[in-house]
Amino acid sequence: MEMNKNVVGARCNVPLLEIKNCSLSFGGIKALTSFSASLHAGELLGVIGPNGAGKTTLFNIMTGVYPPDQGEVLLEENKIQKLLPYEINRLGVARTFQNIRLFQNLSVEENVWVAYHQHLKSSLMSATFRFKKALREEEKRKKEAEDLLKLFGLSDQKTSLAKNLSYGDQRRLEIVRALATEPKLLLLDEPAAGMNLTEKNELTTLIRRIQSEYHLAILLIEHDMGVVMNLCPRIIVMNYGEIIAEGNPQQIQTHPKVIEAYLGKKNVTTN
Amino acid sequence: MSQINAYYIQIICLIGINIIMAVSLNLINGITGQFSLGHAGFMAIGAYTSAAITVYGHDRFAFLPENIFFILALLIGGIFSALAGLLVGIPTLRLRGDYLAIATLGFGEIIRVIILNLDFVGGARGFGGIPEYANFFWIYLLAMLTVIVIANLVRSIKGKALLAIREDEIAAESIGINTSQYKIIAFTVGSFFAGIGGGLFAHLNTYLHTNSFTFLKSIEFIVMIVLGGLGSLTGSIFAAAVLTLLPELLRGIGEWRMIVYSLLLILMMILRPQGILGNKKWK
Repeated sequence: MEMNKNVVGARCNVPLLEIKNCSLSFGGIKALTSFSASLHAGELLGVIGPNGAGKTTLFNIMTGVYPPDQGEVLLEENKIQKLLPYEINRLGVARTFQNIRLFQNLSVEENVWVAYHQHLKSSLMSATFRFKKALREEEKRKKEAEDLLKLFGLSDQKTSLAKNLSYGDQRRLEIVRALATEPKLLLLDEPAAGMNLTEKNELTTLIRRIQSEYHLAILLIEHDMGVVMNLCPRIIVMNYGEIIAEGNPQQIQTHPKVIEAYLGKKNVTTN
Repeated sequence: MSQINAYYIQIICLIGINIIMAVSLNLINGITGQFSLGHAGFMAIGAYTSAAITVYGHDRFAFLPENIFFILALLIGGIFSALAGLLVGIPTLRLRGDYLAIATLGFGEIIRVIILNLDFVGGARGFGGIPEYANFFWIYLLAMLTVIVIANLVRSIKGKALLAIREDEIAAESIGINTSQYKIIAFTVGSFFAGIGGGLFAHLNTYLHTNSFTFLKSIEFIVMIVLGGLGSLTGSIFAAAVLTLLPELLRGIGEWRMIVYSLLLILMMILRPQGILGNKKWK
């Protein structure tokens, strides 16, 4: 591990993703105020904060849903803050959504197939006229989709509609769909939302596995402290669109500003 | 006897044309989820373009065999219609839902009014003297081709991007689908086949009037695809047949016809809101 770091050390200094002084306000509400952070290849970073802290806004800026008023987002040193969501995805950033957004009336496998769509070289035309080359390419991708579903324990349900899956399976399918786009960076927006303890534990194992097997950088936004503390070696805490603390789980847990944001100020009468 | 026979053949041919119209509209509305109310407009472009070619080009292209001349005219009609689809698609597909419906409705009416004021295609008098090239064979051959092309399109992985857009546009973008591009593709391909349908209609009726292409006509096609089940091609085919036949079958009850027709539609939507064949797929 240590050696590996040294070999690629020079490249590693360039962060995979860098957010520089990003600000965004909606009317009078400052959703994000000169926010800066960076993420290296293969890193697992957690972002936590109370409701309305600007976590999802941060995601939306990184994925091109809206451009920041000010500041830059760099992916491997390329500015991406003005690109459209699909362009950013093609550069290697995939995401999941806080409120699951699957293609409800498509089957589980179809949900994964479409995610491969950008990697198909043959044109829509040649696929429509079912040329051999296009069909072969599709078969190959369908096989990959099958393997991916098997890996995540969803292959038994591959022909059922996405909307008929259980809540936990829907979350999992959304992650599989994001992985099928073959990203370098995976953004998970509150993946543990609405999960019970068992499901949360399963999710934690799953995220660990994804990170190690796919050598992905993962940025995890979470409301749930437990999941983040468990998973992320580095955590950023946000409140009112700003970073209030950054560090490892221990540092975060004892940070006075974090405690204040989550539990309120201690009412201490000083003499 | 032969008169009755001709009447039946006419209806069967109309069913074929309506299948083309319904299936191509289904690509835009049912499969890609873009509410278009301008399908009659695209049909009109194809109808008038191909009719103008066969009427005015008849002597000049006399060296071509009749069938080839007809197919070429249909194709050019389809291409004009597709170009119109592209032209409308690019600015309006940023609109969503109701707004897109209004914009396409307006477009359809603009086309109709423009044609109404073109003297060389008859203007308000209507456009007559169109050769009767279309027949059962051509209509059903092209209907089959339409269905096969659109079914294959949706079957391919890239084509499934269209379904993904209908299901969730934001999620589709998030997995790298250029939604604007795909919407325009759907619009262009749908309009192309609508143009072909229009061309067949022109050469079946031998007479065209802009009154056949009002937005009520677009609504008729919408009713077909909703009744058949949005997104279901088999449903569209079935509903196109039923809804073309029904007014004819109800002719016997005279003035009550439209009331019974409407009641049947209302009942249908109450009893089976997902359409006759729901979301069933073409196998």
